[in-house]
Amino acid sequence: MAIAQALLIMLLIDLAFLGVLVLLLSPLFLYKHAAYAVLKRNFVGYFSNPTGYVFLCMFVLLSSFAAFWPHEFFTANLANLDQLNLYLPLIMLVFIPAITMSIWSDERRQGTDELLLTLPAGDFDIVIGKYLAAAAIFTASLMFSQISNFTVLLSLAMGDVDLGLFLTTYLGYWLTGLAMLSIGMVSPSASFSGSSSTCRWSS
Amino acid sequence: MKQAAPQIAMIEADGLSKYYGPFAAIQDVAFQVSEGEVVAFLGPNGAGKSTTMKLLTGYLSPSAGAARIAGHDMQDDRLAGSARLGYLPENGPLYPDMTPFSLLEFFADARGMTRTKKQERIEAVVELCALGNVIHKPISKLSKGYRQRVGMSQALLHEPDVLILDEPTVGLDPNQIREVRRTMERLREMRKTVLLSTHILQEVEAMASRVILIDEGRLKYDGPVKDLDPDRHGLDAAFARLTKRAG
Repeated sequence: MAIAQALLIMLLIDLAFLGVLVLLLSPLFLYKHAAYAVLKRNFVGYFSNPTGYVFLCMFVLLSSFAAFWPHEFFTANLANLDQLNLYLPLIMLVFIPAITMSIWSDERRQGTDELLLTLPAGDFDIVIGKYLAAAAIFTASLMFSQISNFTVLLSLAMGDVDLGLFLTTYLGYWLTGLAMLSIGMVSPSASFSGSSSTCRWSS
Repeated sequence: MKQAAPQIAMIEADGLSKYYGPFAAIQDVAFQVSEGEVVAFLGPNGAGKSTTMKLLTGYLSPSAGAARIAGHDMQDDRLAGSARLGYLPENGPLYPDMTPFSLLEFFADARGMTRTKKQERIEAVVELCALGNVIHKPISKLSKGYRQRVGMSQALLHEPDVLILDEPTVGLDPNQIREVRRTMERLREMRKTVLLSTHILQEVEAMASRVILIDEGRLKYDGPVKDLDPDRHGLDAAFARLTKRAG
């Protein structure tokens, strides 16, 4: 029971957090039509093909492995994410480019950037729309990993988990991710196509 | 064709040049297209047709000169110009994962249309471009002809006064080409200003009233279709003569 209750509280806090975010961004949605349209299209587009889900599952799986697999987790005997803190930057080094890589280079490969950049909308609108789409995809993925890791921690610690510590750790992951997304969006757009930016990232 | 009293240049290239390093893609190209005119933009492959069109739409910025749509400079005042411009890029690029309907919805949203206006315009272009059968099929599954029509419907969605169409008939079968011609006919009736590029000469006589011809990045001819071929040797010969290729 305690587990379900704690999980519910965490989800409610998440929801409130997302609500505040949407509220803060609402002027953008109201006045920057193009940014909102691009955000919606890219977010829906990412989850309308299987690759998006594959990356999401990989991310959740890897972050759970990193958190609970190392023996240090059990030796320390603490219900926290110390081990994940060590490995998450490495996981994100693969996961973040998987989101950002295609976001510009697909447009260029398909030639659709010509349509986007000749819309009656400033470059800023399009770029911010793309960035928010990437951020939304990342946020959704991180929430899945959060729910999964929290459930495991709760069941291991019989419901006795420091919720504040857990949530602020995830806030840190979220902010790290947002910073990495912005870097990831600049780098591949400098190259010509999706495949060549993959090579760049993996080499 | 009836001439409107004061001629406003809806499309204007004013000494346009575009250099890629030392290579000049186009050099000092200047022409005007007045309201209601349908102009064919001719030239061999690699002559700079697409570059000129990209400069006119504001997608590329010129190295020298200016491009204007409905009087708006496409560098300083691009947003006002783009609002009145419909553009069909070369090869009709589209998002393959979307359906024509979601694509049109996306562009309507991006242009800030209201819900009712959006519905009304989508219905109108779907009717105009005969997309009814495929409206909910993914674009990646559509034939080339349908894709080109989806591209066209996107260009017409916001009722632009000016249309720039880069090779609207390339890769289409004769029936589809006839269909494009019919659409062009309707656009002419609506008094839209159209600049369409092609390298298929038969289309020029069928669709356009005036020809602009460029080769190797320079303007070679600008005038009525009939003056292009005064000796009636056929458009082929005129084209070969103007582009200095052995005919």
